[in-house]
Amino acid sequence: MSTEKDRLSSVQVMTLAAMTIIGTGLINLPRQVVEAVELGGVLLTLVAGGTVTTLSVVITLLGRRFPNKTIIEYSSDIVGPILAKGIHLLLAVYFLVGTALVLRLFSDAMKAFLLDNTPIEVIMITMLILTIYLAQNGINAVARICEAFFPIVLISSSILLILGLKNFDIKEFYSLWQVDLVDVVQNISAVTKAYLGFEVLLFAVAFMAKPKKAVICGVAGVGLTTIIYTATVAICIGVFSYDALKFQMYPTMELAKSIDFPGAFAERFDVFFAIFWIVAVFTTICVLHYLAGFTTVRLIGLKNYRPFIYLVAPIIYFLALAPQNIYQVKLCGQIFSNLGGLAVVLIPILLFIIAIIRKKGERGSEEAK
Amino acid sequence: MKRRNKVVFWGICISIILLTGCWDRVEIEERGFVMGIGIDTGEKEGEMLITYQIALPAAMFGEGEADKKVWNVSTTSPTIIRAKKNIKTRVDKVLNVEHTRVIIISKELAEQGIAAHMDYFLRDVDMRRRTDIIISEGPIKEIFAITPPTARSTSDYLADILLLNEQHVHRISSDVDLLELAKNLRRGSDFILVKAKAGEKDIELTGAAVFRKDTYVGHLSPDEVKATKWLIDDISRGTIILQDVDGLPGHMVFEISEGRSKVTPRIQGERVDFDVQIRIEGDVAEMQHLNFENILTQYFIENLERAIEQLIKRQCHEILKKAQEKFEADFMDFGGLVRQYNARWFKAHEQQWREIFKESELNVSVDANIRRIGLVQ
Repeated sequence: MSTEKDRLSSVQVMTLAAMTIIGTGLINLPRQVVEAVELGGVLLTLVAGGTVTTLSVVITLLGRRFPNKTIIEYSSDIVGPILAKGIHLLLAVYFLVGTALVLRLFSDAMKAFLLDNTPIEVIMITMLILTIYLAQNGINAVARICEAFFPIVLISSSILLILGLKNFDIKEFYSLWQVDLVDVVQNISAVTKAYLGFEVLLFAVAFMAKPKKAVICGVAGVGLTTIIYTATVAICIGVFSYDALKFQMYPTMELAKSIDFPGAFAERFDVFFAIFWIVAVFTTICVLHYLAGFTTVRLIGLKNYRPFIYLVAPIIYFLALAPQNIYQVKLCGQIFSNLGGLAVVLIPILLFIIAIIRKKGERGSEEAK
Repeated sequence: MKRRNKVVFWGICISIILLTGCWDRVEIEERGFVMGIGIDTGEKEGEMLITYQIALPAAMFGEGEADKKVWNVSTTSPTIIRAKKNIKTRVDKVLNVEHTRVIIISKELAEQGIAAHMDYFLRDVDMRRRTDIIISEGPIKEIFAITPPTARSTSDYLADILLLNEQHVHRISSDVDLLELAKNLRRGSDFILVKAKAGEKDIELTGAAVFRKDTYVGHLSPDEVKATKWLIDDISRGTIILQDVDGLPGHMVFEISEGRSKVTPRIQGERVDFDVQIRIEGDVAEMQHLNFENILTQYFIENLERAIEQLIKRQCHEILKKAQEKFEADFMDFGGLVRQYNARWFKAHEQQWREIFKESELNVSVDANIRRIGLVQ
């Protein structure tokens, strides 16, 4: 494994988790939330975020039991090599599909907002070349980029939300006390998909310099994302009201469009916001691309992931081009989130429980003594 | 080795300068900026007469003649986007709607419903959300034919009146942009839009157009707009004219400096009443009775305040009655207010809302304060 010098710092892991989650979800989450439940949109985002934060605790605890091991290695420790291969396959497919889906969603939004004459293939290839370049340098390079870009994304989305407050109507929240809590709980899974990306912690903990801090880093990263997402949903509901929000394809972009900058010197705030959103999506694709290469190579049983970053790129590219229209993209999104529910929600929980029962891992062996 | 580094360095620099570019670029000289879009009824059924007001940048910032600053291009078409394509066959620029300031819809078209024609403006990525929507009393052509001396184009002129004077004149209906309009159309609620009428050399904002759902149903005079604005929490720095205060001859003008109104729905079973609390502050701005000495007395100021309060109360009740009986339209958006305060109740009563609204009553309490009286007693 990597040397001490190349280890990830705690802040890097935190930003890695946050930047992997913040991606395409940032611009279409408010619509998804309002489609799921009308009134309790804000609550739902918060509850889903809380659920994912809890999950990240489970994942990081699991990672901490097996120092220097990613899920690829410790899954075979816990459930044996045969079942573990199944898990590897699932993860590899999940990351391949995930990268492709984010790439596609990104390209579609780019085409709609900024580059309407540029062929979608060109947008995708450009993005893939960039992610190949970064991902083949390993998780350290990716984490460093995340660390560098995180403040930029945080600041730009804060500016957007603060400026959005001008059209914000607090009265939209007067009925919040009537929220049907059962409805909210039932729809958690519909919103959790916007938080997919936290699974990077399944891998990142193994590379940490101080694995003891893993839990705090994970919670901080996912928690920060929850705050950003909840604020975005709240502002979008306050500005557009539920009825208009349901019809917006990209509500957060729409929010950026509807801002009149004080003094009107920057009329197109949406372009300004789009730049930073591209950065956020870039890091997401990068991490997923890296993990896709990493899991594929381990699935096959080889060690060096670098050639595979190149090799999975065409697969991702063709997967991303597979959906023929926006409806099929939406459908793929649902398939992906179901796959995610299995691969990165259910399996880590099961692994964690089995690890405790079978007393595997560091703490488990201590107890055995 | 060093030499090679240099070559690489300059190679990178040159390629950065030469190779970067934008696939979708359009040079600014090639763009035709659309300042305003007008939608009118066409001669044939199902067709519209659509006018684009295109800015001529060279003339706009140069010495060009007044009537050459903009170019109005009209075409008939069943849809908005088709009209744009039609116009593109006649204009040697790439049309750009990013700076469009107004969308003007004729009254005649509005009577048939506007929802169907607004979709393009919401769907198209280039349209700003801050574009104002104005209803024109007469044909659109008359409006666009007028370019007042102070403005660069009709569209700028209208948008600037709304931007600059709406807050200072209580009689101008609050400006509604695409964002607000979209909310109303999505919700299916009633609303009012600014109404304009072309004069000889200028355009006057003559009040407001009342819409039931998306259909034009009537006209509000500037005074009725003023009354409506009491009820929608949009109190501008307008004036209130009083007569016969304390037996004084002539008019007495009170100018509002700030104000706030709060409407709270009171739901009682199948019935909703509204509590309206209006608080305004202001100055005495004009008195048509010179040499009146008793103005600085508690008695007189209180009297004046009571008179203002009575007037506002009466106006509120009158406008509600008009909305309920004449227009049968809830253009103050009380329905939206009920939805915000009690979503569950409103969802259950959404279908009957119009009937419930007709029975609603107002409970107005006004608190007027005269703070100053200007420079003379």
